[in-house]
Amino acid sequence: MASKSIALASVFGLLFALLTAYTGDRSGAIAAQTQPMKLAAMEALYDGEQGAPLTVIGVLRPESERRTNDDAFHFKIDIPKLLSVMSFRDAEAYIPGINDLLEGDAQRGILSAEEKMLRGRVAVGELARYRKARNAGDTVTMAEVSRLFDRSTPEGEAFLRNYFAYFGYGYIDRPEQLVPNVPLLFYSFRVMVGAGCFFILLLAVVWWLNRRDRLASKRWLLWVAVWTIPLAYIASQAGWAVAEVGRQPWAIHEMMPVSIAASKIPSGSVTTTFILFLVLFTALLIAELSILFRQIKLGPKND
Amino acid sequence: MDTLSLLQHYWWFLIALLGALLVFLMFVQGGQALLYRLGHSEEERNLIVNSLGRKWELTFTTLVTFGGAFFASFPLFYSTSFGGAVYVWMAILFCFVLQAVAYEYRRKPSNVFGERTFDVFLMINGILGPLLIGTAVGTLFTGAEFTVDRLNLAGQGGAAVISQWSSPWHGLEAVANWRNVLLGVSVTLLTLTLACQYLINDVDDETLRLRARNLMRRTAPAFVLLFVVWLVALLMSDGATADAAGHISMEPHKYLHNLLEMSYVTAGLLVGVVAVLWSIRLGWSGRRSAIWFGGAGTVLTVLALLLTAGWNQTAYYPSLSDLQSSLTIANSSSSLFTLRVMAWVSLFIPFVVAYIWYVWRALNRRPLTRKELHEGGHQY
Repeated sequence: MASKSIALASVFGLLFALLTAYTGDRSGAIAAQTQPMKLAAMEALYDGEQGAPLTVIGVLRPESERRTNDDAFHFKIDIPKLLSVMSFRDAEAYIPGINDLLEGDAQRGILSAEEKMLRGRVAVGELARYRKARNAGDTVTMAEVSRLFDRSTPEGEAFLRNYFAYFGYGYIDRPEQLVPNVPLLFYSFRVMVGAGCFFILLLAVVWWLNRRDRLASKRWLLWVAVWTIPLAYIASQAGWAVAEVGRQPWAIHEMMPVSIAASKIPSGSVTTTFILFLVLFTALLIAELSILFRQIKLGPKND
Repeated sequence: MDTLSLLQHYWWFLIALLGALLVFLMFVQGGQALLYRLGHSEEERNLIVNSLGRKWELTFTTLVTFGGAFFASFPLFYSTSFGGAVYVWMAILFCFVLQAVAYEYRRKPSNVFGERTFDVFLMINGILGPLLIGTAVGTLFTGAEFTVDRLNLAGQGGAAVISQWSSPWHGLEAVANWRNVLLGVSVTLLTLTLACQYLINDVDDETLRLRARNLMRRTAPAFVLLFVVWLVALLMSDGATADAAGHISMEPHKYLHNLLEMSYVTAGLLVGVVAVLWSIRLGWSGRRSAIWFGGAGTVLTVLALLLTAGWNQTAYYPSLSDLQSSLTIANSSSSLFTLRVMAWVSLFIPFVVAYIWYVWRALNRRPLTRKELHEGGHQY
């Protein structure tokens, strides 16, 4: 029964691991186009490059110890040009780094963070002007601001494109707030991708050996498989960290930072519910594990 | 009616339908609440849990779908209510987390806390679930304490939040209105009544059937009495209504007017109420068919009531703090694009319903017996 179950699980596992790798690659390419800061932070790419390499593994220097022109890494292993290929399917494609995205690059049409913040404040300011006019019953100003948000007029089209497009930056105080936590992202991403590649390899080997009836004699491999179970959860959590830490500070990309999107609830009640959940789920996890271990110990029923 | 308005009405109908199905399916909660009242021995309790266990996921999924559909189609309600009445929604969430694990864990060896703890979880969910949901839904008619101003986005920090709750009780203040509590208790009694009808149908055991019948004879009249008082109070009450420009005002007897102006909704309500009454008549004499009338009647009644809350320019979430902040289906919906895309996806709903029906029939082909509990197969 175990062998049959492994046969099925290894085929499905392999298919889905490959499918996940494919969708992951697509997500990366989309992030390169729409969320360049996320990609740059994932790769700890501070200065943009043409034909950027993909860092397979590396150790980052802590930001506090690093001076302006120091290398961001203690050491790293690269694959040349791979990041450009994966992002834009072009070995010579330019990938902007964190510094380029903050400081801007007029030649490549990248606005600086300061400029985006300035434009965002203009957009938020128009909204404030409308609110003031509404409260004062000033219909002339209200109509004037409304026109700016009307895409069908040239004036509105220009305002929406040049100012409202950067609306969310109007809430940002310092450019550094636009950079997500680089070390957390960099390592989480490598844990996720590393685990994913390991799953593909392991499942392929297990499937092959099982087909040839040689799996049962490889006890060390069976132990590797058992110890891989928690790795699936770790990989999944690392993936969530990449997605959610990488999107910071945005709840809606470039439109609404998380600080503005949060409900207005006293922090004490959030803490209370968090602790309640923590206690409840920990208790349930203990029960779950206890049941699982007992069932494993009992072994399968022979029907 | 333009396309946007049509889609808003369509999505309110879908939400009302999901809400109606949920109230019916909460017979599962009713059964859990009665676990020790109906089941005197461990074997009897196992019969009840295994009978309900075939259905609990349907209720749970419907609850989640109801919340998800509400979020997607009327996000302003979701952010206003979930971000404001947070204690109520958290309490509901907690009591459903307890339920989700209790079925699977209760009789497993080494479950740490013991069968009785998980049975208590089931009872907490069985009583609190319908009570809290019923009370929360009551505020769709009586209103809640919040303000909504999109132009808050012109502010900074916490002042930029569009929807703000005005009561420090964050939703718990709903119990201060007797009509909300009355609806909560009515819904709870209805779920107990439906649970008795369901168990009469689904469990092939004379002792349990008799006990369920006798209990229904007590819960059903209490439900009818409280529900009628709530309904009359609703029809006598004022309601918030929006004019063509979206300006909101209070209208005396608004819900009565809604029923007079939407005769098809009234027809649904009447047929629903009669069907529920008929199911009680059938259940009184222990007939197995009672649940079918009780279920269909509940769905029609709740559907009609929720349509009364949202259609006909009614504010389905009146604000007690600032009348103009009240939510209507017109001022709180997703964009035309989102509603349209979701409307296409919603065409799959009949297939999902057909699947649920098929599964239900397959599971209920024959009533559960004590003998079956001692055979192999999946047991709760």
